[in-house]
Formats: sequence, structure tokens, C-alpha cells
Amino acid sequence: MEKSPSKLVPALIGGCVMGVLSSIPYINMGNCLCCMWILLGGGVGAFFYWRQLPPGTEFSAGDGAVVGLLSGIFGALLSTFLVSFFMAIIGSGSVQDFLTGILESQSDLSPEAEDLLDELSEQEFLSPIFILIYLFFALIIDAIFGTLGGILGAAIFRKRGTPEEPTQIQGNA
Amino acid sequence: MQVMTKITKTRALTPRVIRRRKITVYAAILSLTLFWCVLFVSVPFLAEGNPLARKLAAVISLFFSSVCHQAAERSFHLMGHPLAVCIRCSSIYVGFLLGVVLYPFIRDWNDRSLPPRKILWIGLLPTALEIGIFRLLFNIPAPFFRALSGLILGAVVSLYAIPGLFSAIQIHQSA
Repeated sequence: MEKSPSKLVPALIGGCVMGVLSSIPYINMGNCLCCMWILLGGGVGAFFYWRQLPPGTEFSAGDGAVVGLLSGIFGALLSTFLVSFFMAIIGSGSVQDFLTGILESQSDLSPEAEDLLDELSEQEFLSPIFILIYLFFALIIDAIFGTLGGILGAAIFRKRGTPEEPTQIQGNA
Repeated sequence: MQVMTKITKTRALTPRVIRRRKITVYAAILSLTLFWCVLFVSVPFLAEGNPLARKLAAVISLFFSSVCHQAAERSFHLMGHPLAVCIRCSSIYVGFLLGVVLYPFIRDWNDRSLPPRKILWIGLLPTALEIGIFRLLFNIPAPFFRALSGLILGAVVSLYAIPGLFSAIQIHQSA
């Protein structure tokens, strides 16, 4: 039995990819295509974990899922920080535009719902409440889709090298 | 030493415990997927309800706004209101739910391996073709093909997600 390589560094790399791409204004719209950047972040984490595996070692879907989950958690934390940073620099105009977009696209929403979105549009976007709400939503979504990205990454990369006999490894986060 | 302890503990699991764990994890996946689908379908119903329900509808819409463009003209409508996600996303989520429901009937629970890679590419192909042909090349709305390709993609992804999650909590280690 061999001890598996650390999942932390690949997850950090995956989380960075996920967090950066999910928070840069306009580029983050890529997430509207099946959560592309979040899945990619989980997949990148899985790729870097796969690269650390000794030749001939099977890359289990469970390891991919754990790396993807960790990437999702790191990605959510980083994107929350970066979104706050971008809003501090360029202002919350893009977020307000986005909320206005929701209002326009969901024009048949009830007056109460419109009021709520209006309230949110008028909020100070760097307030702790907004950051906490953003972090909560990001943690749920990034953890789910990051895990999925890691599993799909494991499905794509599978085995490291061409072994004569696969080595079984014991998972260790 | 720590690894040895872990192995010993894993091997100590009886088939009954393993089976119970698998059922628990499967039930959790099924419940969460069902909850996710109920969440985005509930928005039009909540939008017709009392003021609190309407606010809830707005919060749910806001939640899904980070994963979907939510364009009303590209979404299914119920009672005159769009769902919280577009046709493609709705179909992927419903396809995933269908895949989870059908999983015990189409795959052996004790099979720890992921399905072959080519199934993933085959599952992605209809969505890629739909985006390439209908969206980018001709720019014509094709809600039926968008829904069908999303259903296929969601169902295929679930075939990878379930064994992946079983494996993540080491259910298969001693199976």
C-alpha cells in the first residue's frame, strides 16, 4: 500500500482557477454555461492531483471528488475575496447592472420580488451581510459543482502511465 | 500506522453495514437532487403566493443567477412566470435526477469503476452540436433540442457522480 499524494496543493490550484475566473467581471459570465469555470476548477485540481500520482496508479473517482470538493471550498473563499476587491476598485456598478438585468428578464415577477431586488440593488455591496450571503451561495454552488468537476476529471484522466499491474492506494486528504 | 489503522477499520465493515451506507448515500443524493429541482421549479408557484413566498421566489432566483443567465425568452414558463433557470439548465438538472432514479436499475452498485470515458463524450456531443449548429452557426431558437441534449447530458453525468461519491466516502474500499 502506498500513501496517496497530498490533495491540498492540487485543490489550491483548482480553487485559484475557479475563484479567479468566477470573479472577474464579464469573464465570470462563463459560469452561465453549465457552471463552466467551477467545473473547470474542479477538473484542474483533479489534473494536478493526477500528475502527482506514481506511474501505474489508478486515479479513483473518490479522490477526484475530494480534490474537487476542496477546490470548490477554496474557490468560494477566493471568489468572495476577489469579488469584494473588484467591487472596492471598480464599484458595484456591474453587480447593480446584473441585478437590473434580472429585474428586466424576470419582468413578470411579483412587486414584492421586485422590491427585494431593488433593495439589494441599493445596498452597499461591501457590507458584511452582502459578503456573507455571497460566500454562503458560493460555498454551496462551488462545493457541488467543484466535486462534480473533480469526478469528471478523474473519469477523463484515469490511470497515470501504463502500468503492468495497478497499485492500490489508500486515500488521505 | 495511521494508514494501517484506517485499513483495519475499513476491512472491519460488514456487507450489511456497507449496504446500509450505500443506501444512505444514495438516498442523500436523490433527496438533494430532488430538492434542487423543486427549488428552481417552485419559483413560478411562489411568485403567485403571499408576499413572503414572493420574496422567497426572488431569493431563489438570486441564488440561481450565479449559475444561469436566466433569460426569460430562453426559459420554460409556468403560470406565466419563468423558472429560475433556463431550458438547458432545467433539462440538465432533470436529466441528472432521472439518471439518479434509474441508476440502481442500470448499474451494479458494487461496480466501483466509472463508466468508460467515451460515454461522457457521447453525452456531451448533443449539447455541443446544439450549441454549435443552432446557436453559433444559424442562431435559431431550438428549445426542443436544447431540452433533449440537456436531459442526455444530465443523465450521463449522474452515471459518473454516483460511483464517484460512493468512492469518496470509501464505501467501495471493502466491497
